[in-house]
Amino acid sequence: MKNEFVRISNLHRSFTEGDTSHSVLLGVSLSINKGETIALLGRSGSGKSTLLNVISGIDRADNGVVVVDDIDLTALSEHQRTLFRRKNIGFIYQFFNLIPTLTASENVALVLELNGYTPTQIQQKTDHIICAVGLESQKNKFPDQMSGGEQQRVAIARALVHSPKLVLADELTGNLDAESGHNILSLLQDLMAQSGGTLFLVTHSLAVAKTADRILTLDNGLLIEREGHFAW
Amino acid sequence: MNRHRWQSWLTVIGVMLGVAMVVGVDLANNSARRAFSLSLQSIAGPTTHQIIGGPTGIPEQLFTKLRTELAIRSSLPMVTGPVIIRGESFSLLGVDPVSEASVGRHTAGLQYQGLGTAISSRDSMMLPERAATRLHLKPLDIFNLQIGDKNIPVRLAATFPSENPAATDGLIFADIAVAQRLLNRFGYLDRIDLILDDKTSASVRTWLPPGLSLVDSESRNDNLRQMSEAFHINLTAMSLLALLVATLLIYNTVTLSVLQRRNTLGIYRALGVTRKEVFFVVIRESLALATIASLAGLLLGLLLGQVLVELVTRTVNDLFFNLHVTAFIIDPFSLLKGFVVGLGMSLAACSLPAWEASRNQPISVMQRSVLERRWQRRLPKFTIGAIIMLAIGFVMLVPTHGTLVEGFVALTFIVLGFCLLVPVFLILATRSLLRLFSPWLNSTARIAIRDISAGISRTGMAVAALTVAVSVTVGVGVMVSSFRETVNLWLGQYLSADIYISTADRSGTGLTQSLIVQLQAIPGVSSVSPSRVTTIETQFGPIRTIATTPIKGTSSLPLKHSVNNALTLFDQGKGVMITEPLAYHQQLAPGDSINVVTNEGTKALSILGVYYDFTSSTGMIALHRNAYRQWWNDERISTLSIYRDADANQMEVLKAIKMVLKDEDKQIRVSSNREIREVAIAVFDRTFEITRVLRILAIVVAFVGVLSALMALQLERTREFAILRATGMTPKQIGLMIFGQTSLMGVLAGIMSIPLGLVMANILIDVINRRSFGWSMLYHMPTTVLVEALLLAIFAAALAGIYPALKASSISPAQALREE
Repeated sequence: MKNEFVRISNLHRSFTEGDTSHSVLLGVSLSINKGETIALLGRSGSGKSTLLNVISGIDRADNGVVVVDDIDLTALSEHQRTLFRRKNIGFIYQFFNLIPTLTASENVALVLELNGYTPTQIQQKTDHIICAVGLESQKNKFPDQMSGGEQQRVAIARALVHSPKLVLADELTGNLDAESGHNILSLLQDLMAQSGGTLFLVTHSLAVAKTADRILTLDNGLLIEREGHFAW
Repeated sequence: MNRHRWQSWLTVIGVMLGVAMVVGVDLANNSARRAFSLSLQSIAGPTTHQIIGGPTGIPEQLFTKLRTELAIRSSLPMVTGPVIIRGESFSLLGVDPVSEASVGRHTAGLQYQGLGTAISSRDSMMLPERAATRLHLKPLDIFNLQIGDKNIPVRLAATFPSENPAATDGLIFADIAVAQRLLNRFGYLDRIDLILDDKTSASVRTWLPPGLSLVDSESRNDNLRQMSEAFHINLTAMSLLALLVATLLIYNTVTLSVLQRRNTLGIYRALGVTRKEVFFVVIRESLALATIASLAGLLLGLLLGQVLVELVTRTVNDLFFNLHVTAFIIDPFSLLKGFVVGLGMSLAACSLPAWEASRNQPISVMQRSVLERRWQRRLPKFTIGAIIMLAIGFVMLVPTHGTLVEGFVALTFIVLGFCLLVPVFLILATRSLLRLFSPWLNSTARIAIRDISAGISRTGMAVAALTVAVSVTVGVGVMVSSFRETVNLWLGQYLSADIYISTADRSGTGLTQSLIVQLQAIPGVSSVSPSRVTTIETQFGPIRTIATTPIKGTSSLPLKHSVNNALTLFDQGKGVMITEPLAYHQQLAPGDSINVVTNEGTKALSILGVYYDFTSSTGMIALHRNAYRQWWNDERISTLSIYRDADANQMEVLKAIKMVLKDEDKQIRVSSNREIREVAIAVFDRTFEITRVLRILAIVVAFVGVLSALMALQLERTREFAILRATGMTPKQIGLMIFGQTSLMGVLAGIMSIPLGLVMANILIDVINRRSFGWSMLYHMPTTVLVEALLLAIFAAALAGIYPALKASSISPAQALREE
C-alpha cells in the first residue's frame, strides 16, 4: 500500500518466567497508514503494551517483522533502535512517567536535547508546545507540584515536541477522571491533526477507542479488527 | 532483604570491616598490654618492692650488706639489658641462681634449682623452649648475642619449658656475673627485688644510702604501663571511627529495605498489624544481618589483629619501652566487646528507619517521595542539631587539661555535627551549581545534579560516610605532616653539633676525658661537648635525664618557656630544664621545682625552663653536666657532640675522628648530624605506619558505604532510567549520567572533608596529641594532603559509581516498564 507507515508481519513474542513460557503475541500482523489513528483494545495481560513496546523498538520480537517508515526495526541493533526511537517516536504513558527531578519545561526539552537541537531551537519549541498544552504558568513546576491532568499534558508535550512521525499512547486517560481524560484526548487529537502524525492508542475505554479511525482488538495473542461488544 | 542480596552483602561487608577493625585493634592492644604485664609479673614474681639506683646503678656490695646488716634473705639481685638474637629483640636477665632458689621465686616458669650448674660457665645462657625453637637453637649451640654494635658468641646451656610462653618469649637468662660482664655493668646491679612487709620496708628505706630508693613494685609497673596507654586509646578511637562509617551504611540498608517493601508493610498495617509489630519486624531483620556481619567481623578481626599486633609492638618499642610480643592473645572479652559494639551500633542505626516505617499510615507506608519530603522538612532541625553538637564538641575542648577520652568524645560530637550538616550542604551546593551553570547544563546534567538533592535521604548518608572517611585521611595526614615537620625543625635545633660520638650501651665505656683532649686536637674541631644520658629517680618515678655541657653561644635546648636568665642559671647548675611532655603531664612550669634522688639525698631542683623535645613522650630532664657530676658522682660520658670550624671540611674531620677512635672499643659509634636525622625520621615514619593501615581500612568501609548507597539509589530509579531509555537516551548516556553524578558526589564529599579534616587535624594536634603525649606541634598543612583527599573522594565515589552505572545502563526498558 502506497500510504503505509507501519507494517507488522507475523509478530511473535513470549516471556519466560522460571520454567514456564507465556506466549503473548502469536503471529500479529498489521498495517497502519500515515496520519491514521488506531485504537487497540484488549483484556489486561493480553499483550497490548508488549505490542506497543515492540513497535517502538523498546522491546524485540521473537519472530516477525516490524517496519516503521520503511525502516525494518527488527534488523536494527539496540543502539540503532534507540536512535530511531529518539527521533521518530513519541511515547505517552498511563502514569505520565515524567522525570521527577526536571521541571515541566525541562522534561519537554530533554527530548530535543537528545536529538541535538540548538539551545535556541530548544527554547522556542519547548515554549511553543508548553503553550499549546496550556501550561505556560506551570512550566517551571516539578511533576509532584502538578495535578494528574497537568502531568499528562506535560507528557503529551514531551511526546510531540520533536514532531515524531508516530505517537504511541498507553492508557492515556487511564489514570485521570472522566473530564480530564476527555480534555487530554481532545488535546492530543488536535495536536496530532496539526502535525499529521500517526497515533496508536492502547486503551480499555471503548469511548476513547471510538474516537479512532480504526479499532483493533488483541485477543489470545492475535489481532482482530472489528467493532461490536466487548466483554471487559 | 533477601530480594536485594547485593545490598545485604555490602552491609555485611561494611559492618564486618568496622567490627574487624575494632576487634583487631583491641586484640593487638591487649596482646601488647598482656605481654607487657606478663613479662613484668613473670620477672617480678612475688616481690613487693624494688631497690633502684641512680644513673650508676646499685653497687653490688649493697646486696651483701642488705643480707648481713638487715638480715633480709628475700632479696634478689638483677641486671637487665636489651640484646638482639638473630634479629629479634630480647631482654637479657642476669640472675643469681642461689638467691632465687632460696626465695623460691619461679620467674617465668624457670625452676632455679639446678640452674646454677646449667649457667655457671662464663658464656652460658638459657632460653625458653619456644623461643629456642623459633630461633632454631638447641642446647650446646653457639650463637651471637648482639649488644649495641658488638656481637658476642655465647652458648645455649639449656632450654626450659615455660608455663606462660607469652611472658617469657622475649627473655634470655644468664648468671648475674655473666650479664654484668656482657652489659658492662661490673660491680653494679640494676635492681634488687624484695619481699617486704610494711615494717621492714620502712627500715630498709631509712637504711638505704643516698642515691638509692625503695619503690613499690606495683606502682612502678603501673607507671610503665601508663606510658603507652594514650597510644592504645588513639588506635581504639580510629577503629571506632570506621565503625561509625559502617553505622551509616546500616542506616542506608535498612531504609532501603523499608522502601522496597513499602507496599507489603502498608498492607500489613491495613490488615491490623500494629506499629510496634512493624517496628520489631524491621529491627529483627536488621539484627539478623548485623549478627552475621558482626560474627564475620570477629573472624576477620582475629586475622587483622595478628597483622596489627606487629605494628603496635613496633610503635611501642620505638616510642615507649622494649616489648616482645610473640603470642597473639585472643581475649574473649575483646571478641564479646566487638560483637556487642557491632550489634549496638547496628541497632542504633536501624531504629530510625524502623520507627519511620512503624509510624506511617497504612497503604502509604514510606513512599519514596514521602521519605524525601520528610527529610527536606527535617533539614532545619538537622542544622540546629549540628550547631548544638558542634557547640558541645568545641566547648568540651576548652579545658587545657581535660582527659584524652573527653578529647575523643568532643571529636565524635564534632564529626557527628558535621555529618548532620552534610545534607544541607548538598542541597545548597547542588542548587548553586544549577543556578550558576544553568545556561551550560543540559537536561542529563540537570537530572544528575538534581537527583543528588532529590534523593537526599540516600545521597546525604553516602556523602557523609565518605566525607568522614576522607576527613580522617586529611586530619591524620595533616597531623602526621605537622608532626614530621616539627620534628625535623626540632632536630635541626636540637642536633646543633656536626658529629656525634656515642656508646651503644649505657656504660659510657671508652668515652673519656683523654679522648676529648685527643679529639679537640684534631684540626678543624672547634669544640667537644660531653653529655651523659641516664635515668634518675624523681617524685614522679624514674625519668630519663640528659646532663649536657652547652657550648657558649649555642643552646641545644629549644626553649618554650623559661625564667629570666635561664641559660645563665643553667650553666651555673642552679636548676634544670624539663621537656614539654613532663611539664604537661605533671603540670609543672618554670619556677616550680622537682624532687630528685641524688647521691647527696633528695634535692628539690628549680625548673628553669621547659623545652621542646620529641625523644620521649613521658618526659625528660636536662641539667648541666657539672651539677650532675657533683650530685651523682658520675663521670661517665654517653655522647660527645663535636662542633667543627665553619671552614673545616666535614669529611676530613670525620676521617680524622675515626682515625683517633680506631684503637678504641668497637662499641663507639660515630654519626654525622645528617645520619642521625635520617634515622630519627625513619623511626618516625615507621611509628606512624599503623595509622596509614587504619586510614586505608576506614576508606574501604566508606567505599562500601558509597557503593551500597549508590546501588540503592540506582535501584530505586530503575523506572526513571527505563523512561529515559524509552525517550531515546542510550545506555552509554545513562551510564555517563550516573558516573557523572557519583563523581560529583565525590567532589562534594572531598570539598567537605577538607574543613572537617582540618578541624580534626587541629584537634589531633592541639588536644589529642597534647593530652596523649604532651607534645606541641607547629601546624603544617601540605597542599598535597588536601589534593590527595579530594582525588581520593572523587576516585572512591567514581569507582563506586562504575557498577551501578553499568547496571543502570544495561536495564531492559521494556521489562522495567512492564514491572511497573
